[in-house]
Parts: sequence; C-alpha cells; structure tokens
Amino acid sequence: MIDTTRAAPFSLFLCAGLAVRPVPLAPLQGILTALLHLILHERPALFAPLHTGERLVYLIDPVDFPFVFVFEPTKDPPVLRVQRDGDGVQPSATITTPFEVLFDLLAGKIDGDAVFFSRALTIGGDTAAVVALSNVLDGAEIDLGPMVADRCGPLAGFMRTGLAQGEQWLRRMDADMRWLATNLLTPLERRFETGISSLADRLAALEEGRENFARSRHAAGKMP
Amino acid sequence: MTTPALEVVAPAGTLAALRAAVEAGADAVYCGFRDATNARNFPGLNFSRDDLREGIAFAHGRGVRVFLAINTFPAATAPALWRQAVDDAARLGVDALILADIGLLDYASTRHPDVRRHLSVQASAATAEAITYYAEAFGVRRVVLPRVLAIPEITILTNAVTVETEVFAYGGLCVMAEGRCHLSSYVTGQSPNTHSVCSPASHVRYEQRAGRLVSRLGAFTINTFAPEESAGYPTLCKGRFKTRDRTGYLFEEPVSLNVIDLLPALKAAGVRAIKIEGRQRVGGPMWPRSRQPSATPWMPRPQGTPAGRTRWRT
Repeated sequence: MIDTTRAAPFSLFLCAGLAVRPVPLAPLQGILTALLHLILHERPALFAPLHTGERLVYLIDPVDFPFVFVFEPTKDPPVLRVQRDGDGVQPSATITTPFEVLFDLLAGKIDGDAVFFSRALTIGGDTAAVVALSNVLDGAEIDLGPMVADRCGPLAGFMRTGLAQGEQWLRRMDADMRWLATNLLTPLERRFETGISSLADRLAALEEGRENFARSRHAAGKMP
Repeated sequence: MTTPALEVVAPAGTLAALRAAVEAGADAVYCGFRDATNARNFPGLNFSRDDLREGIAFAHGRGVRVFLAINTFPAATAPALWRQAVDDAARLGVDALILADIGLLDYASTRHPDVRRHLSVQASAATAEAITYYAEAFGVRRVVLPRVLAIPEITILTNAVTVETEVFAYGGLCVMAEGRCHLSSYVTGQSPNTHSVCSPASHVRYEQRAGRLVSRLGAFTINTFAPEESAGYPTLCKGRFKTRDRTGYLFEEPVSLNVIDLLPALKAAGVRAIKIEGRQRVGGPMWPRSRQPSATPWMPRPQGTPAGRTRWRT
C-alpha cells in the first residue's frame, strides 16, 4: 500500500534530489554547516527559547529529497546534519513535508500552523518541540539570500540580484514542471473517472436487475 | 459630540510580530513574558526582558503603546515570579499591565500606582458591580469583557461603568467563563489559569490511523480528519465527540470570532478598544505581509451569526 503521507509532488526538488543522490554527503554537510553558522552569527540567541534543559532532536524528512536532516538546536553550538536516512536517529520529533515547504518555512514565506492544518506537512513525536521550533523560526525573519550576499564583500549587490533572480528562475521552473505534470495526469484522471462512472452504472443496473428478479420470483410464489 | 475612534489592540508573540503589528497600524500591542505569568506561554514564544525593552523602544518610537499581560493566577508557593514580572514591566516602561488576580492588582496598584492597570478577560468580570469593584479597589482603567457576551450585553455594561471597555474582535472563541475553566486541567493536569496554556502542546499527539489524521490530547482522542480535510489543534472544548445520540462538536464548533460587520455597533455601544486574539499565531492573522498564506485554514469564511456576534469557521 502506498504511504500517502510520503507522496512527493512532481517538482524541481524531486528531480534535483534524484540528480544529487549519488553525491557524497561531505560537500552537502559543508554547505549546511556554513549556512547554520551564518544564521547563528546573525542571530546568536535565535534558539535560546528552546533551551529548557531538555535535549531536542528533530528529524526533518523532505519527502521529495533523498536525504534527511537531523537538527539539534539545544547543543552548544547547535548542530545540523545531513544523512541518507533516519536510521540510528532517536528524534524528539519528526517533520515530514516537501522540500519547497521547508524552504518557504525557513524563509518565513508561509505560516507553519497553516501548512500543518492544510495537511501539507505531517509531524510525529513531541508536538511541543515542533511548536517551539516553528514559533522560533516563524519569528526569526531569516532571509538566507541577503545573509549570504552580505558576506560577499564588494560583490554583495551583484550576489543579491543574482540570488533573487536565481530564486525566481527556480520557482518559475518548478511551476512549469507542476503545470506539465498536471497536464500529463489530467487525461488519465478523466479516463479513470469515466471508467469508475461506467462501472458504477453497470453495478447499479446489475443491482436493479437482481432486485427485479427477486420481486418477480416472490410474486410467482417461488420464494417465501 | 463625536465618539472617539475604536482603538486596535494587537497581539505579539515575538518581536517580529510586534514590529509587524506596529507597522500595520495598531494603536497598541499586547504581549507577555516567556514564563508562567501570562496565559499564552506556548513553547518558543513570548518576550524576555531584553525583548520587551527593545519592543517598547520600537513601538514608542512610532507612537504605539505596549501592554503586558500578567494574567495567570500566582501560585501560593511562588508568588515572587508574578510580583517580579509586575516590577520589571513597570521598570521597562509598559503603558499598561493586564492583570487578573486581585492580589496582583493590589500589589501593582500599591507599588506602581502610576502604571495603568487593565483587567484581563481571565478575571471574567461580566457584571457592572464586579467591574466597578475592580475600578474602585484597584484603580483599574479598562476592562476586557468576556468573549461570549452579545452586543446588547456589551452595551449595557459599557454604559453602566465608568471605566473603558475592550472587547475581542477576532480570534478563537472561549465558551467557558475565562479564568474558571478546568477542562484542560482535567485532561492534562495543566490549565491556562495556573500553567499558562490551554490544552498544552506537550500533551498533544498527532497520529496517522487508517488514512486518517488523529489528534489526541492526553489520553483522549479529540478529533479525526479525512485525508483532504483541514486539521485543527486538539483544544478539548473544540473536539468532535461521539455520544449515544450524535457525533459532533458537543461543546462548541471550532469557529473564530470576527466582528468586522459589528464594528459600528461596538462603537455605538461606547466600546473603547477592540482586541485581536493570537499571540500564539506568530505569522499574524491580519498583517499585510508577504508571508501571509493564501489559504490559511483559520482565515475567516462566513458561518452565521449566533449569539449576536458574527462568527466564522476556522
């Protein structure tokens, strides 16, 4: 049976994930660590509200990406690891959602509660831990693009423009892919709907015939 | 004589939300400390002392006032936490304290008589006599009325008292007498009155069962949702329960309040301020920001007008 909670949308991230699957983890880990350090440099007290004495381990699982992320914000300093799967991790909480949603959540472009209640994101384990992380990130106003650009010295302006245009290009391409997927799937869906409708009609006709047969036998006194 | 404009009092669970509310045009912002002294002590939310100092400077710089809610009921074993909160808020320069406990009201009025005092909805003051008592005994200048009151009741109360009234205009409804509900305590051992949170997230579990999302609070299943159905937080009074007679929302429908059509009536009633609920909604339900989602489940949709107030499905 297909696990529908893990059904990934046909997206740019899905294709990119397939492409980067053979890539060793070390370069990805390097990028992640650098980004986390950048965020912590800008917001050193960002994760302070999570430091309640309890160790928190988040397993973040993008359904359309062949890696998972393990985040421990209560370590000093906080740790963000990339792994091929969640084996060996004992998470306080798990967060499962398409990569694009994670990206937009971090950038503060969408509301965590809204995404969860609309069922685009599933959580497991310690709900309070997820709520706490969501609240911290939602209030953080992290905009990674300008943060990275500002570290590029005299090229900052050029980088800002480049990153913004790159993001626009990625989103347009992602939208095109979804449009393509919709157009490929729509005729199939229509055929399924027609088939199901035809089957339903035939089932109803059979049912009606069976009832008529039973009534006629009853009328003829052949059944009690 | 013209009546003054309704003042908008907006929630802030974080500094980012405070800034957004100020920039969106709120007249005042209310917030709470990151501890048991405020009734919305959700994990990861609320203000440290430094946050409050920064928030007050930002708001005052733009002519916006900051209210601080210290609206839980002090524990007999540790009243110092609540008193310290009052002292710190006064020192940091809040424009008003929102208080519920009469002991704390007494403390604030004695130690910091110059700091304006508002009566929290948690005090559940719903009669003119009760409100007048709070005004005379503790110098309360404004009372936040219970959410379940209808327009005629709000009008009568507002005209019968000498202090300002403030009413909730948007957000979750609470059908119980605020400050006196023990449903959450019954199920989780924690309540908004003493532990600062109703149906705490630490007792919430979401599980997948046979294709449905099941929301649980403590040992109880509060609701189940079909695959395409919008889910909700398992607040106990907003659960879908099964009895011998029927299955449904037995305490109350999971609806939110939205008085947008009733603003003229509230103004005519003499209400001084309208309050937007949602310190736990960090994204902010009303701010014109790029982050505002296009299909937020709790954005208002028409639902009917029971109890004299417009209500909207969440």
